[in-house]
Amino acid sequence: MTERGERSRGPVDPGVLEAVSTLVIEVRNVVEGLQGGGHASLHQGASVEFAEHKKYCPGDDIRHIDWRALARTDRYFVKAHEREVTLRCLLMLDCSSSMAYQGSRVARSKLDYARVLLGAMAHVLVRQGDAVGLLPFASLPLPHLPPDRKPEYLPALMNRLASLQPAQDGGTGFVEAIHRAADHAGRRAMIVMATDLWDADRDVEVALASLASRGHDVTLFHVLSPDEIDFPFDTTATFKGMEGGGGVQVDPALVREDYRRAVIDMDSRWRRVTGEAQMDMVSATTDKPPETVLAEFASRRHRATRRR
Amino acid sequence: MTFGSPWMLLGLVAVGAVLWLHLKPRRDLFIPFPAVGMLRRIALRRVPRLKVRSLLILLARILAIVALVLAVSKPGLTVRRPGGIRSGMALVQIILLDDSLSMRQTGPGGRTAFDRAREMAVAELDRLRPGDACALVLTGAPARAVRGEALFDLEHVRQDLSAAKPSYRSGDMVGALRLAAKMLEDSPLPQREVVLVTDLADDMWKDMDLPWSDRAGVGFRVIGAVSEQPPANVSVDRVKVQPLGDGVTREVEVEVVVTNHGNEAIVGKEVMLELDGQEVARGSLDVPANGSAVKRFHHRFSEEGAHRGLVRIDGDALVEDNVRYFSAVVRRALNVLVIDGDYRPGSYRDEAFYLMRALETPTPYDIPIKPMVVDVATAGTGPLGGNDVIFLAGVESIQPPLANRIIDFVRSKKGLFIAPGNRGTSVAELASIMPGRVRSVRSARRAGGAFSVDAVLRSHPIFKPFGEGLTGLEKTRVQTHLLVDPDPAVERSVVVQLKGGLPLLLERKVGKGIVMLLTTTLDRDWTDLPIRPGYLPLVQRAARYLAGRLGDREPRRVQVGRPIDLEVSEGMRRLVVLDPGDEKTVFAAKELVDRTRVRFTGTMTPGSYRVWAQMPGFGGLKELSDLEFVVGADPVESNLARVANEEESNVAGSLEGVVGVLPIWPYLLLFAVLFLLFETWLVGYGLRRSHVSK
Repeated sequence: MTERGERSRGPVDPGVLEAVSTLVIEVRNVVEGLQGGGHASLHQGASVEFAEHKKYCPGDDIRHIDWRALARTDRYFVKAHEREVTLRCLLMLDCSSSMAYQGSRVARSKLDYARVLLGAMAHVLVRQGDAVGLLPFASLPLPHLPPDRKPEYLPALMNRLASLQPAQDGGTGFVEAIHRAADHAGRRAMIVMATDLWDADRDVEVALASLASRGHDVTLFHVLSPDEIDFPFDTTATFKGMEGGGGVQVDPALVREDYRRAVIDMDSRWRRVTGEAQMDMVSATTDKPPETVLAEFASRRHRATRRR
Repeated sequence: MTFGSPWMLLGLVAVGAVLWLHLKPRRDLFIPFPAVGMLRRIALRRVPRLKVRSLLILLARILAIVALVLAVSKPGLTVRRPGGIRSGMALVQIILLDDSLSMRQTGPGGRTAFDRAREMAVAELDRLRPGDACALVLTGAPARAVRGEALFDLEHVRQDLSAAKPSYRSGDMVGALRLAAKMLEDSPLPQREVVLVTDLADDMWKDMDLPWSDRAGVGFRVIGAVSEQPPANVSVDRVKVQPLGDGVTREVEVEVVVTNHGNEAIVGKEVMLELDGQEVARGSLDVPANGSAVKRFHHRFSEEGAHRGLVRIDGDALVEDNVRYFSAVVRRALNVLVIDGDYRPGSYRDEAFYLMRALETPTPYDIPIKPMVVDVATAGTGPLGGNDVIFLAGVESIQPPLANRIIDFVRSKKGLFIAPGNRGTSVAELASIMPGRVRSVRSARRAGGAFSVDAVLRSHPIFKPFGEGLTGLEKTRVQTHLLVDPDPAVERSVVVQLKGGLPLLLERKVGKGIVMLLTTTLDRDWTDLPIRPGYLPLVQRAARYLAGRLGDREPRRVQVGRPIDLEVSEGMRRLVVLDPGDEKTVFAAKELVDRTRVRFTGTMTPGSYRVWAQMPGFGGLKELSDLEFVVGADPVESNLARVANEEESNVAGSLEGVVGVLPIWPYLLLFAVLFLLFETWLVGYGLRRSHVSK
């Protein structure tokens, strides 16, 4: 492995990269792009994919006249082909302090996990020739990397991913981050957000739905530690908020059931919200290998594209 | 409510500890966690339930501890119920068996009350179960436990009961109850009971109080061994022997007190006097109901010495108190001639005034002293031989014939006591028998002071009965005294010495007799000795010592079961006490060495106890009549009247009422367990629900 390779890999383990090397991530809808690529464009253009016939009009390129149709119908038709363009993908990474949580049963924090997940995804997308950008967010705005499809761009993105640290305090700044994403993603881009969704309120739902309604392919990777799902603690303790807001003293044995039920409720609510807004939501528990999560996501997208 | 181990209630302090642990600010474990907002919402929703649960847990813990502490304190409900309470728990039973003299009374069929009491005690023993313990305490004075502790082997107690015999002792119910209380205290068994089997004699309830409180949970039952009111009993309560006249005639008066404990007067009760094994007199007297009468016999002994006798009346329900033993030592009185140099009869300024008051005072058990005062002139004409001791009080000089007669008197095993008058002159005519040469008079009055006693020859026979403080003799202050120089040719001893080494009382043997010289006056002119408590015994014992009759004394009397101290003479090598049943008690030499008295405790049988000793220079045993003593029963035991019904219900009933304690600690223990289970359920409630939903 060369030094360059090390740098380009960033936070992503080689094993993960190998596992995702064959993945193809497809967009949920048609997207808009300036350069040709592997994704269906909203506009028709040069491509091998036939779209429809249309009457020849002066000014049309005579190279596109369907001569066979002329022979059969004695009319001039022009073959219209779908235009395949490159994808603009904006990877949003939640860097709030709650993402620093690791839990007792896994070896890395949620932020590290999300780093690997998004890094691997960036690899896949760049390999596909898509443009990938990075927008980390926390309570305060963080510098972002605009989408770029050049392979040389990948190391910079990886380094940026690797250098991200969880915020020390404060909230997540969801809404502001979504607005920034809308500004930077352009039109009909793929927006992938890795977050734990804690403190994501109704405004966040609205903002995300608005983002999706603009034609963006929005995917939420819901990154949680297993401890956040099971609440396996057994000693009465004061649970201190990682994003401020004080703490609360509880006997885990007494609230465990209610907590688990609340986590399930939250998951259900977000699935409903994302479903209604034509968004994808992927559970990414940190005890689950990121390549598996990514593979499942890619597979799901592939199936969805086939059905389309 | 009673508590078997009340000190265990200190464990209730643990309630405070639980409260403190529950309410103290907790040193929390802090865990950073992202979903605190969600936790807070859940916790807020559950707070009321959690508070109730927390309070319930606290309550359950406190109740469990209280119940546990109360349980180990062995609480019980004091319940008054005739016949006692018997639960399933083990019982320790102390049987107090009355073996006093009154239990010898015979009832129908000739059986004694003690026999019936023993049967009842055995019946009580039969009621016990395996695992119970029992002890036997005999209540005759002094009360004694047959064994040191309650035994689980009931067969041993049964054997103890079989071996028990009625005694001649008086009752010692207080001592018996104390013994029972101690044995109950030592026993670990939860149920405790004391059963008193007695004849319910009227006197036993006097001063009787249970040595444990009602709350101690000790059951107490009284079982009467005599069901019916016993027949009237008549007893010989006291016999007193005193010499008549001067003792020369050896005639004595025997005074007998007979008491009728019945409600009907007795007419013509026959009383018989027996001396030295022979009946010597018989008479009758009328004894009023519940009263006493005195019968006096006069008897002249043929010879001096110790005589043993008894007084007997007709038999009745209790034959043992129909006889009372006595000893009489017949000796003539001690004759003392006081020659007064300043004869002023009755005046306190006369030396003889103090001397006579001291000599005339009777003392118990001692042979009486008959003093006679004469002036010097009369003494010169009268006979001296009938006297045992001569006191020269303030005599300055005497005629040579009288001096010679006095010297002869002393040499013939008699005694002479010389004390100067306040003019300080000595009897120069007796210089040949004086313990020293009188030089002059020494006085501390000019300096306003006085001489004090420095040393007393404690081993001298005069001081033998004196206590450690010599009854104030050592504090005697002497303002003036004779200076007496030692005579190298004369062997003398200083009995009392003043500070500075000067003698206050000297002694010299002359022939077979003894001369004592007091260097100060016998009245208060030169000293405060006459007003000291030790003056009377000093003078009396000096007279007896000089007469060689220190050991002459009346036999002592002691009650059955009470110890008596026997005086030990110097060099005594063996002391033997012979009781009325000819049983010997021997004190060996090692028990006598360096001791002035030994304690004899074998006074279990009424009668005369004779004493022999092996003295130095005397081969065999020599009877010491002065140590002989008589043991008699307590007259109180002769009153067989059973406690009246009303009184019984008030006195015995109040004692007997506390018959047992209903133990409640098992229930408390059960409650403690239930509370603990409830607490465990409360604590584990959330856990179980979590596991179910996992």
